Amino acid sequence: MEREVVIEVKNLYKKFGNFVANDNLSFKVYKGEIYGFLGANGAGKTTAMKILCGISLPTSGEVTIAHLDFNKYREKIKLKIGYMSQKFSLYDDLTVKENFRFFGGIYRMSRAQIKEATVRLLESLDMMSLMDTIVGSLPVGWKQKLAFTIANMHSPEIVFLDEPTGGVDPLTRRRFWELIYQAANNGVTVFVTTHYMDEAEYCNRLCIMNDGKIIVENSPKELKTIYNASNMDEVFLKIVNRKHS
Amino acid sequence: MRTIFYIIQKEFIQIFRDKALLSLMIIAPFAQLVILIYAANLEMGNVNFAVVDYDKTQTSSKLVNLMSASPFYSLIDYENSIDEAQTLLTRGEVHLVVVIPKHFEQDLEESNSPKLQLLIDAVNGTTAFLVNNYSRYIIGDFNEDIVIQRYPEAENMGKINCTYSYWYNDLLDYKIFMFPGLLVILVSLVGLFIAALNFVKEKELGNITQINVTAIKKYQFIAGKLIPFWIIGIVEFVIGLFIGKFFFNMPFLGSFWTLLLYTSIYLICVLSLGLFLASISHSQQQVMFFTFFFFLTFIILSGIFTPIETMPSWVKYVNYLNPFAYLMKVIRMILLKGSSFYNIIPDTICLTAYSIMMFFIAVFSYKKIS
Amino acid sequence: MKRFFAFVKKEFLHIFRDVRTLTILIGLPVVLVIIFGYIVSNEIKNAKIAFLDYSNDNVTQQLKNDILASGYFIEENCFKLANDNKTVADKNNSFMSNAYSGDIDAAFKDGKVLMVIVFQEDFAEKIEREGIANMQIIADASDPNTATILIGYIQAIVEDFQRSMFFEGRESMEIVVEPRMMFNNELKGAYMYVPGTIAFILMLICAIMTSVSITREKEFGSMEVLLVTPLKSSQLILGKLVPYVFLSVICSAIIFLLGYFLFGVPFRGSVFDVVILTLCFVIIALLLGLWVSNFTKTMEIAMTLSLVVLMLPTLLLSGFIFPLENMPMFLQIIADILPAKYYLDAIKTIMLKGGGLMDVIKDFSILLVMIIVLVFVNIKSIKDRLD
Repeated sequence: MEREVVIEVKNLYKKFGNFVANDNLSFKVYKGEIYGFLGANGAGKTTAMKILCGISLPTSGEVTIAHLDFNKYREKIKLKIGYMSQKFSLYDDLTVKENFRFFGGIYRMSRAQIKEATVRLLESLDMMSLMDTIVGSLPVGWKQKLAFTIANMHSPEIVFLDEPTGGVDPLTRRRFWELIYQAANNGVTVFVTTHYMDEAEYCNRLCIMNDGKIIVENSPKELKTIYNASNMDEVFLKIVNRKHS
Repeated sequence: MRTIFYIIQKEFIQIFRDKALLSLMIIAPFAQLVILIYAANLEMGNVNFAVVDYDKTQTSSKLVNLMSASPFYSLIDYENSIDEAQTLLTRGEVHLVVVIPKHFEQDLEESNSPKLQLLIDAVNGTTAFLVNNYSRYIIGDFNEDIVIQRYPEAENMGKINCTYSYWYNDLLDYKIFMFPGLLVILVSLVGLFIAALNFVKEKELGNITQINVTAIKKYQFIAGKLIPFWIIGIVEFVIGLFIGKFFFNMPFLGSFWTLLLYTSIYLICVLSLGLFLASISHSQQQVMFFTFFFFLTFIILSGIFTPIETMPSWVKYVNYLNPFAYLMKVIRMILLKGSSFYNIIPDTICLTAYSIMMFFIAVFSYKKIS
Repeated sequence: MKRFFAFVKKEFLHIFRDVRTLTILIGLPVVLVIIFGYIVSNEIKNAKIAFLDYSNDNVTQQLKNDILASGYFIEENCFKLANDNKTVADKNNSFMSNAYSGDIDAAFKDGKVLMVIVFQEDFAEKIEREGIANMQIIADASDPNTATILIGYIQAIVEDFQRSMFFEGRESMEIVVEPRMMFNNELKGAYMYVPGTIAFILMLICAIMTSVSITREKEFGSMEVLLVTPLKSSQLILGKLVPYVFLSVICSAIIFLLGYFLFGVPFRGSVFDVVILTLCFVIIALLLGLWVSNFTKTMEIAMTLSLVVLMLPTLLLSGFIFPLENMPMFLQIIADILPAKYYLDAIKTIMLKGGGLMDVIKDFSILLVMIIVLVFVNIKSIKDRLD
């Protein structure tokens, strides 16, 4: 049986003046998949993600998200996606509860739905006691978990994570990924950009970007076999070196 | 509507949580209002003057006595020459030098029209104008007395008796004139600066990206940003009116509700302008300078200190686009003259149209897509 | 020294890269000088005036002509005299406008006219027979400035009229008053506003920009990076200040030149003296900015604090817009401890009146004392912080 495609990108270009940030990208992401964009800083990952989230326009190319054409239904698509960015994106001067309420409200959830979701999600995070804590006073790792949970609050079909675990230690990153797996098990598609190689290992499939181009797209396991490497670090180095030699 | 409500709720929580900003928003405008009521005064103060008397007669000293008897003038010194007196002017020790020519008395008797020279320090044109007017007035009185001495019949003939009435401000109290202007500054500060800074801050911190990925409509977001400051602006305006009325005993002749309605429309206009400036700026520093620039330029053009009548005629056309000018004119009409809604219908129509336009400009300038 | 220049270069880049802020910093003084120069004047032309002439004879006609010929007024017809009102008005000489006060009120409220002049019934006849006739001048004094200026015009016109009427066939005994508007014979507003704008802009650039830029380094944590470099802290501070001195010199020069070429604001004294005084003021402003930055943790607070404690007083309590002499004591005391007042006084004396440093020795020495005091205050607060 053919798997359901939730993101389809064909020949996507994005130029800033003469600089080509995204050079002819084409790829598909399937439902329930954790799909990774791996690349160094400036490889064009964030640019591509911003286009998929509808806050930046492509120079040319076709994008379909959740069966909706990007050009026609950009605002409709936004109701079906969640987003969390590398810059921590909750309000630091609001409490945990107030952040839930605000974003729930923006996503047109009803008052009762917001209340129910806040309690349920905080319980699952084991953070009930932090309900009335100001977000700014929490450790970074906790904020990231909260931000991810809030990005999922309105049950989106796809969640976009833009370098979600910047600046935290590997152990905290690991815990964060447990949340991602949970979400994926519930049928949410996760699209994530990263430059951490250990994170890349967690993805179902990933594509490696360099200079705005997709160099290779496959599962981590396959990639390791192809490049005869023991981990993603080696894979990445081999790809980059091959390109430069 | 519900979406807008959630934004408003969030803004209020944030405003009330930031104690530093909140106290600034409350204390600064009112402290400013009170200080400015005292500071903003263009009336002529005490004028120091010197005399160069080349005549040294009874008549000349009578004139000097008459001038120094005036409550506004104090005689500092007699000087021997114009040069000496000019040094005093240069150093700013006197503002006026009266030069009485030789044969002043004699020329007057012989109908030779003696020339009385007034050297006025005109660096400040406003003061110079007032000093000139007032001196002429004193000298005119003096002249009339002399004429009556010579022609006693003059007292009872050919006179036009002028009575002057100063309506709406019979003591020509400058405070009464300035107070409405200061209220305009007060509400506009909230509208322009605080709302604009708030918007840009959200941009600088990156929170706005999180908003942009949602399906929120642009007008919802702008309205959600605007309404909290609209409410705060109205509250501050009412408190300001209250302070003026009960602490400074400022006149309030017109209808409170008419003024409130008009001010509410006005606030939409300035707030939209502030949000517009915020959406085209990249940092708090930039928006600060932008708003500062607009504020200073347009507030002067609005006729807050000096009447629009004294400005070149093109200013009147510029003022069609100057939000401050709309409120400046009408608030004075309503508070000081008791003008009714009927009197301000044309202004209300223009302002409403302008506010709607400005709101849409703010909405369109806010880009969800970069 | 090389390190120091590298640091100064970095500071320059910071400032000149933000093109918008730079545009405003240079554009603001230009616009302000132009507005003040062109707009602020003390002459009213074409003020709308209405006449309520119960007499309508040759004397009132002539007076009206004189008033309208002065160029200060234009007539607006907003009253219709009805015959039955005439009698009412006639009986009530003490307040001739009574019968029409409602109409006058309405005209003022609508903003149609600024002044109404009422002539008594049988005006010419009364002058002829009784030697005196009544005329009432009603001004909309909701703007007392305008009212005072307009009434001044009318007074002069009526006095001239009376005099020429009286001295017809008699030998004149008139004193001719010759006012000479010293230093500024056209009463141009720009004379006041060029020095004022300079003080204001110097405060903006030197004090606000300095305090904000230092606070920014603190907020973003780059101050610590700088502190561990081999730069001495004195070099660090000097390096921060140099670009602003440069910028303020450019801005002052622009304002002086605009004033000189566009509005003919003269430069009567020595340029050297003005430069010396301006440098004194720049140094004071920089030291103030530096001092304020001690108390601020975020840019938002730095901006508002410098705006409230440095900018507004410079604008309002320096004699720039409002004369200081009329202010209540407590405001005058505040003005006395601020540098702007002394700087403005001295600049006006030298630039506009052609005085020398000796004429402003008092202002000059106060500014010097302020520099010394502020240097000590800053050294102390920096020491406190390092401890």
